[in-house]
Amino acid sequence: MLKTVENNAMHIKFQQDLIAPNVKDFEGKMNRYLEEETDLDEVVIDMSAIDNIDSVGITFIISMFKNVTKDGKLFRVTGCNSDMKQLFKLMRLDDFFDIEE
Amino acid sequence: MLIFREEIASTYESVDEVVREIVNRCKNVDELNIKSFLFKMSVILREILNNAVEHGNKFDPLKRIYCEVRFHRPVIEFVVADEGEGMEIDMETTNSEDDVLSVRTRGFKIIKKMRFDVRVDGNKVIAAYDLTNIDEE
Repeated sequence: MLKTVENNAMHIKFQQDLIAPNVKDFEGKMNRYLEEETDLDEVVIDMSAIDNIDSVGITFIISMFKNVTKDGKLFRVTGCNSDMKQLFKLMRLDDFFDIEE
Repeated sequence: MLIFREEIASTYESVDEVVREIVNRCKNVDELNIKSFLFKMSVILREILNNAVEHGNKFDPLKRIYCEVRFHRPVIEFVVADEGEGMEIDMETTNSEDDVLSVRTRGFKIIKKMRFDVRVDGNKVIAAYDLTNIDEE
Protein backbone atom coordinates (compact mmCIF):
# COMPACT_ATOMS: atom_id res chain seq x y z
CA MET A 1 0.00 0.00 0.00
CA LEU A 2 1.76 3.15 -1.24
CA LYS A 3 0.83 6.61 -0.03
CA THR A 4 1.69 9.83 -1.83
CA VAL A 5 0.37 13.31 -1.10
CA GLU A 6 0.31 16.01 -3.74
CA ASN A 7 -1.65 19.28 -3.81
CA ASN A 8 -3.76 18.28 -0.81
CA ALA A 9 -4.75 14.99 -2.47
CA MET A 10 -3.71 11.71 -0.88
CA HIS A 11 -3.19 8.87 -3.38
CA ILE A 12 -3.36 5.34 -2.00
CA LYS A 13 -2.10 2.61 -4.33
CA PHE A 14 -2.93 -0.94 -3.27
CA GLN A 15 -0.20 -3.40 -4.15
CA GLN A 16 -1.91 -6.48 -2.75
CA ASP A 17 -5.40 -7.73 -3.56
CA LEU A 18 -8.31 -6.16 -1.66
CA ILE A 19 -9.37 -9.44 -0.09
CA ALA A 20 -10.18 -10.63 3.42
CA PRO A 21 -6.66 -11.77 4.47
CA ASN A 22 -5.22 -8.32 3.64
CA VAL A 23 -7.95 -5.89 4.67
CA LYS A 24 -7.18 -5.71 8.40
CA ASP A 25 -3.65 -4.51 7.65
CA PHE A 26 -5.00 -1.96 5.12
CA GLU A 27 -7.52 -0.64 7.65
CA GLY A 28 -4.82 0.04 10.23
CA LYS A 29 -2.61 1.82 7.72
CA MET A 30 -5.45 3.84 6.23
CA ASN A 31 -6.62 5.04 9.66
CA ARG A 32 -3.07 6.11 10.46
CA TYR A 33 -2.68 7.96 7.14
CA LEU A 34 -5.94 9.83 7.65
CA GLU A 35 -4.84 10.86 11.15
CA GLU A 36 -1.44 12.03 9.89
CA GLU A 37 -2.70 14.02 6.90
CA THR A 38 -4.94 16.73 8.26
CA ASP A 39 -4.97 19.13 5.30
CA LEU A 40 -6.47 16.91 2.65
CA ASP A 41 -9.12 17.91 0.13
CA GLU A 42 -9.29 14.55 -1.63
CA VAL A 43 -8.47 10.85 -1.26
CA VAL A 44 -7.79 8.88 -4.46
CA ILE A 45 -7.67 5.09 -4.38
CA ASP A 46 -5.56 3.46 -7.10
CA MET A 47 -6.53 -0.14 -7.92
CA SER A 48 -4.31 -0.53 -10.99
CA ALA A 49 -1.95 -3.06 -9.37
CA ILE A 50 -4.58 -5.51 -8.12
CA ASP A 51 -6.70 -8.20 -9.76
CA ASN A 52 -8.88 -9.56 -6.96
CA ILE A 53 -11.47 -8.15 -4.61
CA ASP A 54 -14.11 -9.67 -2.33
CA SER A 55 -16.99 -8.30 -0.27
CA VAL A 56 -14.63 -7.62 2.65
CA GLY A 57 -12.60 -5.43 0.27
CA ILE A 58 -15.74 -3.73 -1.04
CA THR A 59 -16.86 -3.09 2.54
CA PHE A 60 -13.44 -1.53 3.23
CA ILE A 61 -13.77 0.81 0.22
CA ILE A 62 -17.27 1.84 1.36
CA SER A 63 -16.00 2.46 4.89
CA MET A 64 -13.14 4.60 3.47
CA PHE A 65 -15.65 6.55 1.39
CA LYS A 66 -17.84 7.19 4.45
CA ASN A 67 -14.86 8.12 6.61
CA VAL A 68 -13.33 10.51 4.04
CA THR A 69 -16.50 12.25 2.88
CA LYS A 70 -17.97 12.82 6.36
CA ASP A 71 -15.49 15.72 6.70
CA GLY A 72 -16.37 17.12 3.27
CA LYS A 73 -13.36 15.67 1.45
CA LEU A 74 -13.63 14.22 -2.05
CA PHE A 75 -13.19 10.49 -2.72
CA ARG A 76 -12.66 8.60 -5.95
CA VAL A 77 -11.38 5.23 -7.17
CA THR A 78 -9.06 4.95 -10.18
CA GLY A 79 -7.18 2.26 -12.10
CA CYS A 80 -10.01 -0.27 -12.04
CA ASN A 81 -9.90 -3.00 -14.68
CA SER A 82 -13.13 -3.47 -16.64
CA ASP A 83 -14.32 -6.41 -14.50
CA MET A 84 -13.78 -4.53 -11.26
CA LYS A 85 -15.47 -1.43 -12.62
CA GLN A 86 -18.45 -3.55 -13.66
CA LEU A 87 -18.63 -5.08 -10.17
CA PHE A 88 -18.66 -1.63 -8.55
CA LYS A 89 -21.39 -0.49 -10.95
CA LEU A 90 -23.36 -3.66 -10.23
CA MET A 91 -23.20 -2.71 -6.55
CA ARG A 92 -24.30 0.81 -7.56
CA LEU A 93 -21.23 2.31 -5.91
CA ASP A 94 -20.93 4.69 -8.88
CA ASP A 95 -23.96 6.47 -7.37
CA PHE A 96 -21.69 7.53 -4.50
CA PHE A 97 -18.23 8.16 -5.95
CA ASP A 98 -16.37 8.30 -9.26
CA ILE A 99 -14.95 5.02 -10.50
CA GLU A 100 -12.34 5.39 -13.23
CA GLU A 101 -10.41 2.87 -15.33
CA MET B 1 -16.43 -33.02 -15.17
CA LEU B 2 -14.93 -32.74 -11.71
CA ILE B 3 -12.65 -29.70 -11.61
CA PHE B 4 -11.82 -29.55 -7.95
CA ARG B 5 -12.61 -31.31 -4.69
CA GLU B 6 -10.82 -30.65 -1.44
CA GLU B 7 -11.23 -29.81 2.23
CA ILE B 8 -9.58 -26.66 3.46
CA ALA B 9 -8.80 -25.02 6.80
CA SER B 10 -11.09 -22.34 8.23
CA THR B 11 -8.90 -19.35 7.41
CA TYR B 12 -9.13 -16.49 4.93
CA GLU B 13 -5.62 -17.42 3.73
CA SER B 14 -6.79 -20.95 2.81
CA VAL B 15 -9.71 -19.43 0.90
CA ASP B 16 -7.36 -17.23 -1.13
CA GLU B 17 -5.09 -20.20 -1.88
CA VAL B 18 -7.93 -22.50 -2.96
CA VAL B 19 -9.65 -19.86 -5.12
CA ARG B 20 -6.39 -19.21 -6.98
CA GLU B 21 -6.01 -22.98 -7.54
CA ILE B 22 -9.58 -23.33 -8.86
CA VAL B 23 -9.10 -20.34 -11.20
CA ASN B 24 -5.91 -21.95 -12.53
CA ARG B 25 -7.68 -25.27 -13.13
CA CYS B 26 -10.54 -23.51 -14.94
CA LYS B 27 -8.02 -21.80 -17.21
CA ASN B 28 -7.21 -25.27 -18.56
CA VAL B 29 -10.80 -25.76 -19.75
CA ASP B 30 -11.43 -23.81 -22.97
CA GLU B 31 -15.08 -22.90 -22.26
CA LEU B 32 -14.18 -21.61 -18.79
CA ASN B 33 -11.07 -19.69 -19.75
CA ILE B 34 -12.92 -16.39 -20.13
CA LYS B 35 -11.44 -13.46 -18.20
CA SER B 36 -14.73 -11.90 -17.13
CA PHE B 37 -16.13 -15.26 -16.00
CA LEU B 38 -13.00 -16.13 -14.02
CA PHE B 39 -13.20 -12.77 -12.23
CA LYS B 40 -16.86 -13.36 -11.35
CA MET B 41 -16.17 -16.90 -10.23
CA SER B 42 -13.33 -15.70 -8.02
CA VAL B 43 -15.58 -13.08 -6.37
CA ILE B 44 -18.41 -15.56 -5.79
CA LEU B 45 -16.22 -18.38 -4.49
CA ARG B 46 -14.44 -16.01 -2.11
CA GLU B 47 -17.82 -14.86 -0.88
CA ILE B 48 -19.20 -18.32 -0.17
CA LEU B 49 -15.95 -19.66 1.29
CA ASN B 50 -15.29 -16.57 3.47
CA ASN B 51 -18.84 -16.92 4.75
CA ALA B 52 -18.15 -20.57 5.68
CA VAL B 53 -14.92 -19.55 7.47
CA GLU B 54 -16.46 -16.66 9.38
CA HIS B 55 -20.09 -17.56 10.04
CA GLY B 56 -20.10 -21.35 9.56
CA ASN B 57 -16.94 -22.56 11.26
CA LYS B 58 -16.30 -19.30 13.14
CA PHE B 59 -12.55 -19.51 12.38
CA ASP B 60 -12.33 -22.78 14.38
CA PRO B 61 -8.97 -24.38 13.40
CA LEU B 62 -10.40 -27.85 14.09
CA LYS B 63 -13.23 -27.45 11.58
CA ARG B 64 -12.84 -27.94 7.84
CA ILE B 65 -14.61 -26.61 4.78
CA TYR B 66 -15.53 -28.89 1.89
CA CYS B 67 -15.30 -27.38 -1.57
CA GLU B 68 -16.24 -29.00 -4.86
CA VAL B 69 -16.42 -27.56 -8.38
CA ARG B 70 -18.10 -29.44 -11.22
CA PHE B 71 -18.70 -28.45 -14.81
CA HIS B 72 -21.79 -29.92 -16.52
CA ARG B 73 -21.82 -27.97 -19.80
CA PRO B 74 -23.03 -25.22 -19.88
CA VAL B 75 -23.42 -25.00 -16.09
CA ILE B 76 -20.61 -24.77 -13.56
CA GLU B 77 -21.57 -25.70 -10.02
CA PHE B 78 -19.86 -24.92 -6.72
CA VAL B 79 -20.63 -26.83 -3.53
CA VAL B 80 -19.31 -25.49 -0.24
CA ALA B 81 -20.11 -27.12 3.11
CA ASP B 82 -18.90 -26.13 6.54
CA GLU B 83 -19.26 -27.70 9.99
CA GLY B 84 -21.48 -24.97 11.38
CA GLU B 85 -25.12 -25.15 12.33
CA GLY B 86 -26.39 -23.96 8.97
CA MET B 87 -28.12 -20.74 8.10
CA GLU B 88 -31.29 -19.26 6.77
CA ILE B 89 -31.24 -16.50 4.21
CA ASP B 90 -34.10 -14.08 3.86
CA MET B 91 -34.14 -14.01 0.06
CA GLU B 92 -36.74 -11.23 0.03
CA THR B 93 -34.34 -8.93 1.86
CA THR B 94 -31.44 -10.18 -0.21
CA ASN B 95 -33.28 -9.42 -3.44
CA SER B 96 -34.43 -5.99 -2.40
CA GLU B 97 -32.68 -2.82 -3.49
CA ASP B 98 -32.27 -1.48 0.03
CA ASP B 99 -29.34 0.61 1.24
CA VAL B 100 -26.42 -0.48 -0.91
CA LEU B 101 -23.97 0.86 1.66
CA SER B 102 -25.24 -1.49 4.36
CA VAL B 103 -23.04 -4.46 5.20
CA ARG B 104 -25.70 -6.96 6.25
CA THR B 105 -26.63 -8.64 2.96
CA ARG B 106 -23.89 -7.35 0.69
CA GLY B 107 -22.32 -10.75 -0.01
CA PHE B 108 -25.49 -12.45 -1.18
CA LYS B 109 -26.49 -9.35 -3.13
CA ILE B 110 -23.25 -9.66 -5.11
CA ILE B 111 -23.97 -13.32 -5.85
CA LYS B 112 -27.53 -12.61 -7.03
CA LYS B 113 -26.52 -9.60 -9.09
CA MET B 114 -23.87 -11.69 -10.85
CA ARG B 115 -26.65 -14.06 -11.95
CA PHE B 116 -25.51 -17.05 -9.96
CA ASP B 117 -28.26 -19.38 -8.83
CA VAL B 118 -27.77 -20.04 -5.12
CA ARG B 119 -29.35 -22.64 -2.88
CA VAL B 120 -28.69 -23.05 0.81
CA ASP B 121 -29.32 -26.40 2.44
CA GLY B 122 -28.35 -26.28 6.13
CA ASN B 123 -24.60 -25.87 6.24
CA LYS B 124 -24.19 -26.44 2.50
CA VAL B 125 -24.30 -23.75 -0.21
CA ILE B 126 -24.70 -24.70 -3.85
CA ALA B 127 -24.08 -21.98 -6.42
CA ALA B 128 -24.49 -22.53 -10.15
CA TYR B 129 -23.75 -20.36 -13.15
CA ASP B 130 -25.00 -20.96 -16.68
CA LEU B 131 -22.21 -19.94 -19.04
CA THR B 132 -24.71 -19.08 -21.78
CA ASN B 133 -25.43 -15.98 -19.64
CA ILE B 134 -22.03 -14.59 -20.58
CA ASP B 135 -23.21 -13.87 -24.16
CA GLU B 136 -26.14 -11.85 -22.81
CA GLU B 137 -24.06 -9.68 -20.46
